[in-house]
Amino acid sequence: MKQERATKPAAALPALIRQLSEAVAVSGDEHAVRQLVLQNVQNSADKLEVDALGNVLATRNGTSRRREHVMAAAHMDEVGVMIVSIESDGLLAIEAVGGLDARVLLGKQLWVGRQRLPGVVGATPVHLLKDEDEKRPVAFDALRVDIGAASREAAAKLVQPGDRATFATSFRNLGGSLRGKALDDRVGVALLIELFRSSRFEFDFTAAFTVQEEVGLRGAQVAAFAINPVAALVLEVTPANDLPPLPGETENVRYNTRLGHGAALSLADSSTLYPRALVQHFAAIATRDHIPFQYRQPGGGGNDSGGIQRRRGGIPVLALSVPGRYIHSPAALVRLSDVRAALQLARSALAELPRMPRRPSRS
Amino acid sequence: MAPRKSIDLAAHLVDLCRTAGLSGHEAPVRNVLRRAWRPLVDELSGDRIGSLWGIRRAARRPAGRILLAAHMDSIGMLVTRIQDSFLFFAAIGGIDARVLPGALVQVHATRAGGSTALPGVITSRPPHVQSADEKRKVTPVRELMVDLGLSAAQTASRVEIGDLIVFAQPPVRLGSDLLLAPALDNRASVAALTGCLAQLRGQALQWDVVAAATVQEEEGFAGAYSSAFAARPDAAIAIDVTFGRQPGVPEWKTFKLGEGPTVSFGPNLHPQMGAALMEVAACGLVSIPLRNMHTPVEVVAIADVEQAARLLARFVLALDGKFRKRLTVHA
Amino acid sequence: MIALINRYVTAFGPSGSEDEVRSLLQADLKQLGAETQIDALGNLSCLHAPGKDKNRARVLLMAHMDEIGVMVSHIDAHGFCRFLPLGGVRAPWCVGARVRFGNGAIGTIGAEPHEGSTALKFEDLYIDLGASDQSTVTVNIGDSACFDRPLEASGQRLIAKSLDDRIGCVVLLETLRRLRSTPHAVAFVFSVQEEMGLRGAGTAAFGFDPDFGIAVDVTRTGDTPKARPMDVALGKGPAIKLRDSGMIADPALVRSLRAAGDHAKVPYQLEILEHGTTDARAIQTARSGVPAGCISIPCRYVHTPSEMVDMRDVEGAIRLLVDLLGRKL
Repeated sequence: MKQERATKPAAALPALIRQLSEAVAVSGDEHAVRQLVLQNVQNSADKLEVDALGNVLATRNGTSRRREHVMAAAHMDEVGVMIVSIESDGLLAIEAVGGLDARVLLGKQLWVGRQRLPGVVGATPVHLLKDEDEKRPVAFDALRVDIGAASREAAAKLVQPGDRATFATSFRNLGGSLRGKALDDRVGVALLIELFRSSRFEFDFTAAFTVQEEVGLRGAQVAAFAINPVAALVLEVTPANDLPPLPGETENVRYNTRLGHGAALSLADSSTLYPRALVQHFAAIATRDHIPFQYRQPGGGGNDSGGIQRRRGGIPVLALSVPGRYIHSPAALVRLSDVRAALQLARSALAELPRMPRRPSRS
Repeated sequence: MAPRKSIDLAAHLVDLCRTAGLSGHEAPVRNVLRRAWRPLVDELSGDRIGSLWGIRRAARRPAGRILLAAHMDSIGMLVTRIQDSFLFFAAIGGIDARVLPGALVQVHATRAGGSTALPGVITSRPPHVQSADEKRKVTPVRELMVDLGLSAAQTASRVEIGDLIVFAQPPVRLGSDLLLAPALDNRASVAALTGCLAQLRGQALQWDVVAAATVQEEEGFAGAYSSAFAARPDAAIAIDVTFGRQPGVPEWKTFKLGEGPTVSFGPNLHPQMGAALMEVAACGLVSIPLRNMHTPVEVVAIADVEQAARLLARFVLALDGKFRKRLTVHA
Repeated sequence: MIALINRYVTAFGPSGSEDEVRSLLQADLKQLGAETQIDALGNLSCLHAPGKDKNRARVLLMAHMDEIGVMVSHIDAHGFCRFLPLGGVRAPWCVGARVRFGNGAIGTIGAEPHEGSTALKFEDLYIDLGASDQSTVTVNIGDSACFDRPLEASGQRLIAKSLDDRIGCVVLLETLRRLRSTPHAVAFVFSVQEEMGLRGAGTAAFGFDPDFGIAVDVTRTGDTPKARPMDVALGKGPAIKLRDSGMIADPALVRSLRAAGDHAKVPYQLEILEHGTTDARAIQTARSGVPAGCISIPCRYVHTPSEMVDMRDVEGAIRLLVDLLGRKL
């Protein structure tokens, strides 16, 4: 691998993440992030295309004559809501896009539509709630978005059914940590942009910026089919549920990952058992180069790996994640040191990627 | 007669909403008001627990005295325990626990001296890691924490138990007519007081007017009692917010935004504020409709705040000797 | 054949860690003179195509190598290991079970005290390796373990762990051993990660691109006390699957399987399974679709550490398959 750019990618990372975090790209409408991605990779790509679903596939040719192809993926979309109807009082009824808990929407400000109109998910004043309703989580179909329109006609001039909305959260650099919306997976997108711009590998390398991960790993499946790589790496943000035990609890044994403990290697999740050889390769490089890393606890959840692994005749895939607290809420939190560790590990481990069996090997 | 100076009430209200002023800790918002009121009144004073009085004197003596009272404190939270890099907290005032997970907050950290506003977020657990039981409940406040994104050591060196936590939701215009902000309960009413004083500026008054921004309403109406006692008014009007029309609440309990404030006289309108004032004076209540009360995203119509200011000013200008006599007859 | 089955059911092979089973199979297939391949996900296959006919049918036979098990998710300061299920393990069946890791470490599963009125959950369970503290634990987060049980033979009936689906692997091996000639090109595929959601089967089927696919797996029975009604019993012959919750078997293929059973004088049962499915589903949906079916070995107590099959059903399945593959479809 040779370093092609003299810039300091690590220093530029928070700024890039800010741009990506504040862009709005709820699944199926990834336009804003796609534009940012295209701007950021076009000068480094030997081949650049946007496929029929909207995935951005950027390729850098390899230095070796061994024309193997390796893919790395990060998804551009974020969870959010979709406007499904405009009611007579000018309020908007919504449905979830992706795994979004109605409880984190209640009483939050939103950006509505591509023009980012301010809106708010109202909450019945606590004074007027019946006792039992105070303890009961709000249901999605009881949520309404208020954009300050007094009638259906007034609202219809501003939005239409199918428009999407997401949390109105400005990015903050907290000194050591980054706070923002949609860090799942804009941090992964930023990592992939940096990785792509700063590395040329022996193999042909395609950075796949995928669509519709949050609604079922949809973009990655077609991207993997089209690229047909010998191996794939997924760059993600995975939950860090490393909160302290509550009173009465002894130890938090289901933390998934921990903030500040380095890049996370996946072993198993609900859609993928990761091949041992790839996990061990990344762990060995991290250990050798003193890059902090941790294992994501085997458990539920999933990512584009599940969409990639079982395409065609099978594709070995690994997920390398940055731990993120409070993902799928208005503001997730990641640690910058983990982001940097993930970038360094992805770069070093890919540069020394062992040969993958291309077609079924004979014994 | 000095020219009447108009002020931008919406901008003033945004200013008030950006400023912290939790119950019992109203100093920052009091300072904003002090600056705004100084050119509008004859005298600024206050009571011993922190209420601010802007006093306009009548042109002639003897004169009646009217108290216009709005509480300036808002709901919020304070740090009760620090564990690693997480802050457990308690509510100040009637916070709705349902809206807390994922809310953006600021912690006014005092451990390193002074007060530094640190951005943070209230914890939430993503659907990926929730058990079936968890999905069916509202997380109680005692199981929520504030995360500042700092290490345990950084957190311990900056934050002190008792530090205040406020919602960091910036005020924003909703459509052309509405304003969204935390603490509109009751900064909208305080802004109406300012608007009233601005309208009265340069006008000769027959009654003394005491505009009072009171403290600790959300924690038991302390300021209303003390201001009412100390100011010894003949009549009083409380300005507060009331429930705006929104889904999930019956129409008969709510008022439409943008159609003006509600007005009522008598003892039982605002159960406690009214009662407090009624002990010393004839009392009225002006209320500004507000959606999403006690959440970080309260919403009012700016026109209602302006209308409340005009209404108060007109009422005060209409006061004369006869009104005082009428009150006495009734008493 | 009992000795052969014993080797397979005592082997270590939770989903994702099928290496030991694959090695056993590679050795046995080599002895039969077969050449094997391993694909990117770890599926093992061997092609048996003695004929020269260019238009011969490509038939895929599949059994899965993996078994249910557990995976370590956290090791506490005292050395107790929290774990997650791999495949359809049920928490209440785990208490007191012994588990074995790839490195040979053995542990027992303990449960926190809990009220009898609530169902036991995985959060309540832990593996105790007999370690005195964390530093003496020889396994890591992400390591998998299988249940540890010896095989017991009781007359025609076998009791063992992982009969689901090592018995299918043995049926495939025996079928290949006895299959003298076939007009078809038959791929014997031993798949990975079936218990995690049929993950290996789809890519293996994509790779071989068959004209027909048949999975050999176990199925539940309705012949135990208060069992949910199901017309399959132990010892009444292999079951030809008509449908399960993931697939309707190809009717023409079902006819061929029944004809083979009749021709070979093998008693068979017809199976309709309400809950559950097999690799045949993933074969059926590979590429542009593959006619698929399934031969099931009736099995009691599926997904517990002690599963039970009847040798007569196993023998019947082999004879049926040999007959089927020996003639034109």
